[in-house]
Amino acid sequence: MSLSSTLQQRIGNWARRRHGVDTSPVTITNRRIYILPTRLGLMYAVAVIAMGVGGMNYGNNLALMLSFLLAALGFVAMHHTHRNLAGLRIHALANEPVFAGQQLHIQLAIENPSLQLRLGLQAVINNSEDPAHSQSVMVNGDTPTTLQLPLTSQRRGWLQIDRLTISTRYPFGLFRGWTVLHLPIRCLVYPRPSERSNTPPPTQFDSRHTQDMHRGDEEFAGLRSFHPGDSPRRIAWKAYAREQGLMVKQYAGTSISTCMFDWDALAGLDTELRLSRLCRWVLDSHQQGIAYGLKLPGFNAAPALREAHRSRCLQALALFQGSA
Amino acid sequence: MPAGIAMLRVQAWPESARSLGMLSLMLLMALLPHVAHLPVWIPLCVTGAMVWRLWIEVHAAALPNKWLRSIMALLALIAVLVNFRSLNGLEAGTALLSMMAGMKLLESRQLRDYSILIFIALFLLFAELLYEQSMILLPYLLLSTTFIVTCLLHLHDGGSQISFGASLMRSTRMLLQALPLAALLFLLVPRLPGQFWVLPSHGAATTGLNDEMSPGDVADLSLSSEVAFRVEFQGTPPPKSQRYWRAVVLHDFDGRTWRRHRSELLTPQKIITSQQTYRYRMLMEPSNEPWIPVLDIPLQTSLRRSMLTSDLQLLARQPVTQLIAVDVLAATEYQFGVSLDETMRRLDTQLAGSLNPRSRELALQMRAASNDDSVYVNTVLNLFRQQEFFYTLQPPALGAHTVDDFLFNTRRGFCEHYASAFTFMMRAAGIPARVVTGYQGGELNEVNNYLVVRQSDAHAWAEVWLADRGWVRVDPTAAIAPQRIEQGLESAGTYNEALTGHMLSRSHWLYQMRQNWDAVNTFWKARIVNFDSDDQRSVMSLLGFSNPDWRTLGWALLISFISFFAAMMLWLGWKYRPRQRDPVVEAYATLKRKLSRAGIDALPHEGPVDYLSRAALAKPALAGELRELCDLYITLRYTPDARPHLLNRLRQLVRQLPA
Repeated sequence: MSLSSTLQQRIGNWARRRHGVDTSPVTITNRRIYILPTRLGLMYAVAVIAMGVGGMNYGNNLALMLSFLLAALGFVAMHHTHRNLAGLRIHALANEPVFAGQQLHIQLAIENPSLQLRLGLQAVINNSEDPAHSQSVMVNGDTPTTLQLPLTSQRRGWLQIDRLTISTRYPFGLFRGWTVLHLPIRCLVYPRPSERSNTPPPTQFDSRHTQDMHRGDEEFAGLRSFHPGDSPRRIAWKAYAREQGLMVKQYAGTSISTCMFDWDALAGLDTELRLSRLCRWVLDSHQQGIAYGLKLPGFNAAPALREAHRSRCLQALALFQGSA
Repeated sequence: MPAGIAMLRVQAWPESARSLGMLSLMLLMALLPHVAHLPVWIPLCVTGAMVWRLWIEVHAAALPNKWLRSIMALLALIAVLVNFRSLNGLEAGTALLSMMAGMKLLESRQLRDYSILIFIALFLLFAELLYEQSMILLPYLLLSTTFIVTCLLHLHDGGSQISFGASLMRSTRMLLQALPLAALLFLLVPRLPGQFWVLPSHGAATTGLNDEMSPGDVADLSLSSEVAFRVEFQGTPPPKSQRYWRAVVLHDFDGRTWRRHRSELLTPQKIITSQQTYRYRMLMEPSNEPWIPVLDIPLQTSLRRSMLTSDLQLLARQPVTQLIAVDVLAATEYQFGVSLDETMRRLDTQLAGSLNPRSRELALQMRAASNDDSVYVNTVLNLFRQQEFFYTLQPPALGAHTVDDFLFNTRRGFCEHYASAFTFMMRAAGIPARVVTGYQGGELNEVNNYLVVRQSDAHAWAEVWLADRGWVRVDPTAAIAPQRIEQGLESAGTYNEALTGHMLSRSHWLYQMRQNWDAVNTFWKARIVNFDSDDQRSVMSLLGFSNPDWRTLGWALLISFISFFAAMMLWLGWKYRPRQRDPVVEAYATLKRKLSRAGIDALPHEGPVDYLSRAALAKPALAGELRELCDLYITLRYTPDARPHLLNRLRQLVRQLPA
């Protein structure tokens, strides 16, 4: 670890100790705004000092006045940089889960409680190898502005953002003002689904749970949207004629094939590989409308076919800690 | 679409091209005042680079490659070097900076490059101020500064989120906010007593005065109405006929040209003066020459690093390239050089060669007919007065024997001709004499009581040495055209020679205008351009600090900074205050606070109707008010155009409610 990154780490830890963990929304108070000249600002200072020395040397009062004006402008700019951040309220928005390898967007909303337009605001997440920069945005006093920070997650599980920097170089780029926020932002990363493999998910024609309850009567149970692979005989042509889109009729008790995806069935494979494959099966079954259950060490979900069930299974896969 | 057409449709330019266009415009603005003192190829090259760069951006072409750029940079450097024979000095420096701007533009692609261009523009403005500090230039400089600052802001607002106009508004506001601190710094930052390094200047002499005088050549008399210097007298100024400002003394004459002596004469001279002295402050415009014109005999001057020669020329150690202020104590009634040393006598009686034989002969004749030297002086002056001599600004050229030709043939000339001929006649008779050039007269501006001496007031006269009286000033031009001395150059000479600049003085209204303008200009020069440590001291003593040293100034600076920072924080804190909440909501919040103090807290699920009815039940004494409050609140909140008197009633009721 290089010296500067160690230093950054230390400063980050110090800031965390100083400000504690924030809750959304967090208001950027004066206490937590830091400001330093940028490289451009230092160049500007050197140029202004050079002009001042020149003006002084020649006793040229107008040249001196120019350098004094520019120097004073630098100080004014510093105040504006500070004010451009002060008082803003940052809301952490809920983040949709993604699959490992996909790009996710951490979403923030910046609210400006004053009437002055805030310009050139940027959010940076710098706890990963490649920091995620948001677009530079402006926030007016009427509506909060949403910022999106693109991140690519490689690992399943919770992606925890523990440090977030909001910064600005407005007005002249001479100073950079920033604040470090410790908002509890996290995003669930599901395992990366494996390639569609030739190994079909082991199907069980279950006869105990789902089927028993609906035995015999082939009762119409509802419509669901068409997925490739559905039998054309099941397509609800009447609904199609009513321009409701391509729907498939579902019957309770008919050809109920439930799958049970079992961790133990994939013995011999690497943990992540197993999870990836299970993930793929869950996705495919859900898409094909085949009820499925999932059995992991320490987790057992009875077969079902609902959105919440899918989420629950995927979350279990994402947070799987390893076989006992 | 033919190439080049896309360039002309600015509206259709990509964003990056617009930024470049803005920066090009900024550079042009900074370069414009330099056009006057730069060779013409430099602005042309820079403009060419701008057009090329914009063409590249609009047509999405490639930037010139590194080799081409290096070759161009080298060529630019060589061109500047050939043109100025140096890279040092203001002119060469400005030229180099301008060429650098063009080169930089050709490789600019990123924000960082653009920032460099902005710095170059600021330095170009700075360089312009080293050339000239005139008041007329000031609005232009302020405008350019604002434009440059606006460009800096527009580039850094996070991707041009606001329009250029909005950027302009913002940067102007910030410059105005910076102005008070800039003014305080200007007043309080200690000034240095002198230069600690000198930039070599190639500037030519700009005065009407020269260090030599050739009356026989085709006249090039300075008719410029440019100001040479301004003088503020303590007390009444001397009468116009006494206002002789001596600058250069010419000793050496080769029959055609008068020159200064090769080396400075530094033998101390005994000076006796009367009580009649004048104390004045002179603001001298840059002349690029070392000599300082002074009223007759300078007894004291405040000029540092200067010397007074034995023929009483005041010489600065370095040419005057900036406006300077000199305090002088001078005497107009004096006696000096009574005991003339031999060197000086020889110097001021020498007449080289055998030129002008007729004049020599005439001088000897006339001297023989006079009793003493002073009678002879009058005889020569009478020659000019009584014979047909004319004063003209366009005299004919003179032959090899300039004095003979003038005295016997042409008999037309201006001060130089008369001073030259008179001094020659004195020397021919063995009387020590020399030519003095400087200024005569000057115009008193009644608006501010400053005396303004212009280049057109340049004059030449003679000094003769008379036993017992020492050096005596004789102005032979006064003998021929007295009105020349009484009313200035513009009324002397023939009618069609009236000076264009001086035509103005014929109209009273325009005359007043000119006087006022000059008074403003004088104020500018005296108080702003020439603000120095003395002025600083007087400003501080106005604030109650008598005799402030650098420590006092330091404290004053510190206090200024702190107050400026506090003021900025308060002002911006007010500007960026959280928006005012709805007054109705505000009043309702107060009401809730009051009621909860009385023990009736609003429950989270309760709306105003439920809450206030509950409160009315709990406080039967206030039931009427609470019911009215409830109705008012509902009306104000949910009726689109509720009238303001309802709001007032609501506030009143809330206020009256017992806490």
